[in-house]
Amino acid sequence: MKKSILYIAGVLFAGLCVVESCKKQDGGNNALTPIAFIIPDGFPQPVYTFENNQLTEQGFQLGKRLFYDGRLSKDGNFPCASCHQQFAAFATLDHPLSHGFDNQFTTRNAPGLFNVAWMKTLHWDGGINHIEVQPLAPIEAANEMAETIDNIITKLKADAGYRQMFKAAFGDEEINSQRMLKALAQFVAMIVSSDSKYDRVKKGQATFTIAEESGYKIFQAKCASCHTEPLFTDDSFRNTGLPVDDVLKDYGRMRITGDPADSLKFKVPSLRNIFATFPYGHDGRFYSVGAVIDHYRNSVISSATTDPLVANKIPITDYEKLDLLSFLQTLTDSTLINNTRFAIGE
Amino acid sequence: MKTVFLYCILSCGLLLFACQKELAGNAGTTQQYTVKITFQPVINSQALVLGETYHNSFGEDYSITALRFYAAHPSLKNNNTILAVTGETKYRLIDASLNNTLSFTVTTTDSIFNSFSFQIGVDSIDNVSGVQSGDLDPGKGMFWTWNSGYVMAKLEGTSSFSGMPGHEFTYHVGGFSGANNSIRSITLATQQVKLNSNRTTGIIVYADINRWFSGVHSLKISDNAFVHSPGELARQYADNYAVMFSIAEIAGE
Ligand code: HEC
Ligand code: HEC
Repeated sequence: MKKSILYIAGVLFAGLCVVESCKKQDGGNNALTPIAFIIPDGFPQPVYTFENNQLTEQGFQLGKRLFYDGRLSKDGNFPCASCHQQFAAFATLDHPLSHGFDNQFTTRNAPGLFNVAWMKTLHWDGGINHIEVQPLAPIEAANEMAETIDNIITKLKADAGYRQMFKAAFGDEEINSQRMLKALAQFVAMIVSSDSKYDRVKKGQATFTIAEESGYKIFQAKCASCHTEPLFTDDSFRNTGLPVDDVLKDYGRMRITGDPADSLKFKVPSLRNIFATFPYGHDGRFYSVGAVIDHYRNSVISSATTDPLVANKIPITDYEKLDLLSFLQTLTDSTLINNTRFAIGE
Repeated sequence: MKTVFLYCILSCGLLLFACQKELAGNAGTTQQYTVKITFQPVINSQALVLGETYHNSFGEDYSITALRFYAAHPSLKNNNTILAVTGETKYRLIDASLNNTLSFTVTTTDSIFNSFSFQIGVDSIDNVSGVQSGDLDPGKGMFWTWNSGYVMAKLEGTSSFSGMPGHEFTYHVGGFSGANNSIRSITLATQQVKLNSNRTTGIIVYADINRWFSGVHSLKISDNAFVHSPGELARQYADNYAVMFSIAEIAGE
C-alpha cells in the first residue's frame, strides 16, 4: 500500500520534472494571461483562429500600444489609429480618402475595423491574404505611414517600455517583425462588433420599430444576398456598377488577379456600423447611405462584370428607402464604439 | 522503500534526458557526412561583380545591382533514394551582395549521391499562413505588401536598353498558386559522388545571370524592364532562371 503510494508520488514527481525541464526550453516562466476569443451567438467560425499566436492580455495590450503609436510611421504622425478612429468604428470619419505621410492621400476609403477575424481576405481588392501581414501594407506605403519594418524595429528596441512589453507577451525582450505583427493581429482581431440593436433584437432583448421591421424585410429581399447576415457581408467581390474614377483608375480585384473578369469588383463591405463610418464606397465617393441607395435605384452602370443582382438596378421606392435607412441605423454598435478596452490610454 | 525512491530519481532523470534529447535532435552514433553547398552567381562562368557591365545574348548591355532568391528544401538523391539531409533551415535567402548567404552546410547519414535538388521559391502554404520569421521575415524586402506573397527571386540593375527612369530594370518574380505559380524545382545530376566522413565535400552551383533573359523564353530588356506582380511574365522569368543553375565543381575541402 505505502509502497504504491510512494510509487505514484514518484511518477508524479518525475512527470513534473519533465514538464519543468521542457518549460525552461521555451524561454521563460512569466505568467501569460490567456484571453478567450468569444464567437458571438449565430456567428460562423472565424477565419483567423490565432494559430501560432496565442491570444493573451499581454499580447493584446502590446498590440493596442502599437496601434496607437505614431512611431510606426516615418514622421511620427500616422499611427494606425490616425486613419482608424474608434468613434468611427475604426474608419476615417468624414474623409473620402485618408491623410497619410507628406500631405498625401490614400487611394481608397479606410474601412471600419471590426469582425476582421472573419475575413478571408483583407482590403477592398482582397490583396491581403492574412490578418497578420496586413499592417505591412500601410506601414510601407509611401502615402500612408511611409516607414520600413527595420526602422520600426530599431525604434521599438530603443524603448525600454516596449522591451518590457515584448518580454511580457513573448517571454523575452527580443523585438522582431513577427512578434510585432502578431501582437497587432491580436488587437485588431479582438475588435468584434456584435452588440447593435439588431443583435439585441435577434436575441429577443429588444424590438424593432415598425419602420425598422419593414426596412429589415426589404433588406433581406434586396440586399442580403451580398450583405449577408450576421456579418452583413458574404466576403465576395462584386461590381455594383459604379463608374470608374478617371483619376484613381481603380479596377479593384483585377489588380490582384490580373483577370479581366474581376474588373471593377470590390469586396462587399459589412454594413454594420454603417452610420458611423461615413463616407462610403471604396473611394469614399458617397456622402450618405441614402446616396448609396440612390445609386442602386438610379445609376448602376451595366457592363460585362456588373453583378446580375444589380445590373438592372434595384427597384426601391422612396418609402422603402426611408425604412431601409431606419433598419440600417439599428446596425450601429455603440458598445464597441465606446468600449474603453480598445481606447488609447486604458 | 529505498529502491522505490531510487527508481523515482532514476526515472525522473531519464525523462529529463529524454526531453532534452528530443530538443537537441537525434545526434546518434551513425556516420555523418558534411556537404557544403555554395551558390555562385556567374556570367559566362566568371563570378558576378555587382556594378560591372555585361552583355546578354541579345547584345544588350546591363549591370546588376541586386540578385536575391529563396533556395528551399535542399536535398541529395542517389537515383531515386532521397538521402536524409539535416542541418539546413527550410529556406535560405541567397543574396549576391552578401557573401555569407551564398553557402550553407548540410549533413547526411548516407554517403553516396548522384543528384542535388532544391526549390526556388517559398512553399505556397508559407505565403498564406501569416507572418513568418528568419529569412522569411517580411523586413527582408522579399514580401509584397499590397498583394500578399513572397517575391521568390529578384534581379535588379540598369541597362541602356531599359525604357524605365534611370534606365533601371527590376524583375520581382512571385506568385504561388494556380496558373501564377512561380515556384520551381531544380534537380542537378552529377556523377555518383562518394562522401568522406573525415572531410567536408563542397558542391559549387553556378547561377548564370544571362539565363534570366534567355533560359527558355527570350526576354529582352528592351521589351520588359519591369515585373512586379505574379502573372504570365513572372512565370516566364521563373522558367528562365530555373535553368540558370549548374554544378560547377564537387570537391573535398
Ligand atoms: C493613412 C491611413 C491609414 C493608416 C495609417 C492605416 N490604415 Fe488601415 N486602411 C486604410 C485604408 C485606406 C484601407 C483600405 C485599403 C485598401 O482596401 O486598399 C485600410 C484597410 C485596413 C484593414 C483591412 C480592412 C478590411 O475591411 O479589409 C485593416 C485590418 C487595417 N487597415 C488595419 C490597419 C493597421 C493595423 C494599421 C497600422 C499598422 C493601419 N491599418 C494603418 C488606411 C490606413
Ligand atoms: C451585388 C451585391 C450587392 C448587393 C445586392 C447590394 N450591395 Fe451594397 N455593396 C456591395 C459592394 C461590392 C459594395 C462596395 C462597392 C464599392 O465601393 O465599389 C457595396 C457597398 C455598399 C454600401 C457602402 C458601404 C461602405 O462601407 O462604404 C452601402 C451603404 C450598401 N452597399 C448598401 C446596400 C443596400 C442598402 C443594398 C440593398 C438595397 C445593397 N447594398 C445591395 C454589394 C452589394
